[in-house]
Amino acid sequence: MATLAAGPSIIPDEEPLFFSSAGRPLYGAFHPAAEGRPGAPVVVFCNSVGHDHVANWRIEVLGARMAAARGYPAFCHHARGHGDSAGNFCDVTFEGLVEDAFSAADYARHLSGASRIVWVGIRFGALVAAEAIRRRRDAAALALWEPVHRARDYFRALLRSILFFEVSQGRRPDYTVDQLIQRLDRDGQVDTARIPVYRTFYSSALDSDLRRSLEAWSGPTFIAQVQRRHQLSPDNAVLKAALEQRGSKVAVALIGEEPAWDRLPDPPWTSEALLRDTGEWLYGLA
Amino acid sequence: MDWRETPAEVERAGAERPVVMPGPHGKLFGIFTPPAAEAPPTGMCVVLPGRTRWSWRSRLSVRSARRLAGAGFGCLRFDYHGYGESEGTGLKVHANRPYGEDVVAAIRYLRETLGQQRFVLFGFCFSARSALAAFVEEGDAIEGLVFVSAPLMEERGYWGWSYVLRALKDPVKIRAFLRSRKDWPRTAAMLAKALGRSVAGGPEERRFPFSQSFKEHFGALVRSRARALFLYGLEDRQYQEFRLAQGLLFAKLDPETRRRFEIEFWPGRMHAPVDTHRQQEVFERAESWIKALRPEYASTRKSGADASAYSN
Repeated sequence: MATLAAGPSIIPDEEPLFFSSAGRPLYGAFHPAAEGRPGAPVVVFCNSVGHDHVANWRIEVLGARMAAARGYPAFCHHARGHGDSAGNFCDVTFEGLVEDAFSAADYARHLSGASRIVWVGIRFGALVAAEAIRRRRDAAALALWEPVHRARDYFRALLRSILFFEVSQGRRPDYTVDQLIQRLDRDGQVDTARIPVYRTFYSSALDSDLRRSLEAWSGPTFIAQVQRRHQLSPDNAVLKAALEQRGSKVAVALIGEEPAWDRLPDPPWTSEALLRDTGEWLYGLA
Repeated sequence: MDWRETPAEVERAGAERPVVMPGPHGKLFGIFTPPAAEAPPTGMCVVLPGRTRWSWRSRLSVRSARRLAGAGFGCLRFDYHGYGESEGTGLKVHANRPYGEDVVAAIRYLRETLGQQRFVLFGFCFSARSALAAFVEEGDAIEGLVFVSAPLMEERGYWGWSYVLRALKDPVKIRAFLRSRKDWPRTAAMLAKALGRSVAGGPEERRFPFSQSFKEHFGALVRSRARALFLYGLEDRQYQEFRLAQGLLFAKLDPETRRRFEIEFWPGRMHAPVDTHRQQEVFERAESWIKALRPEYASTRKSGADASAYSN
């Protein structure tokens, strides 16, 4: 397993690897930059959790390859308890996800020689990336792909999906979302169609808030909204306004698609528009 | 409840290495879990192909690979072309056009680069068909196959009258049907076909055509010396198709060949992606069956009896 102590690597091609975070091996993939942009920051992806991670993995991989082709080294990773990484999903906490993002960022900087980071937060990963930005001093820019704005809303939507699933099976659910939250607190776990929700993760992440984590951020920001809307959602519009008020240069992309986040898409979801718009934004960064 | 790593599984996780394999549609990305040094070597490598190499919801293929590695098996889990990190264009998969060529590429890489010689394949649905397809080119190198609940017919949606009658007694299915108006034309067409088949008569092979690719790949399995475990759920749509295969294909095998194949029917469904408990049961059954391929278990192996409904 490669560690920081191994020294800088010269990697001619995309390299899948394992690196260490909190003493456990995590899977990562380093994409060295194509020629032409010396001193570019390294792009570090923070993907979503559980099923969302699976649904968005392909586009994360393609995004990293696109960034590398545009002259930015890029790094993807599977957080603990996800994908090929070690760790138990039932033990994942928000703090653990942030710790893994830190480890990924440090390792990416080591491999690339870059001193700064472009964070790409995908769905729930936006909350992780935002928290990493709040705690570190090396962020060059931030891209948000269909960001989750409040963990509380994300969990309620997950639990609501249980009710929808029951209805789709011809059954009338005899409980509410609030009762499911009580069950989560009592039993420690509730199963949804997308991921099991564990009390450990729920309670650790519940108060995460994208705007609050970014309240001191004023760097270049890209918001990609992946919804069937012709204008920004209220949350995205408020975030954009708040960032611009602090002097952030904010670019927006309206990707008029709505993948079925609640099931594994086949073929895997990708979006040429999202990759193109993100690439153009990266190209325009100083 | 999700699974928890044991110390042995953590140890195997630490030994894992990513692999990048040449494939007919571009590079294939996977993870190889080497066998534990302290385990008696089995000389076999388990291949778990997938649209997500960690089998999405509960990462059960990750757990199985580490557990089997702890028992002395090398294990490879990898993404098909067009999926995960593997190169190629992602297309909607179809069971009758399996990705056997990806499995063959993986086997050849394992042989040429990692010195693996004997292989066991484990696949669910589309991956079961892809694993079966590999027998055409690599049947001589394959010791075993776990084949879980895959469709076998040329066209989707075979309904027999027994399935129709059971569905009419199932209030959940009735309610779901009444609520999904957009599916009414398709349902009517499938009912009409079921009626048409029973009216038309004639040899069953003509009325219920197995897919050409399945027949070809099944023939390659038969010609090999591999053992196989077929697992289906009694409530799976695919179960009806397999029952036909039992009568029309398996029944024609000579006794020695037939003894190599075990068949299990379980209550409920195999195709239940949100039922983590059932998914765990399937993976654990596959692991126990694969472990029994070890030479020291030869005398205790079941020979190809058809199990009645498996009781948990």
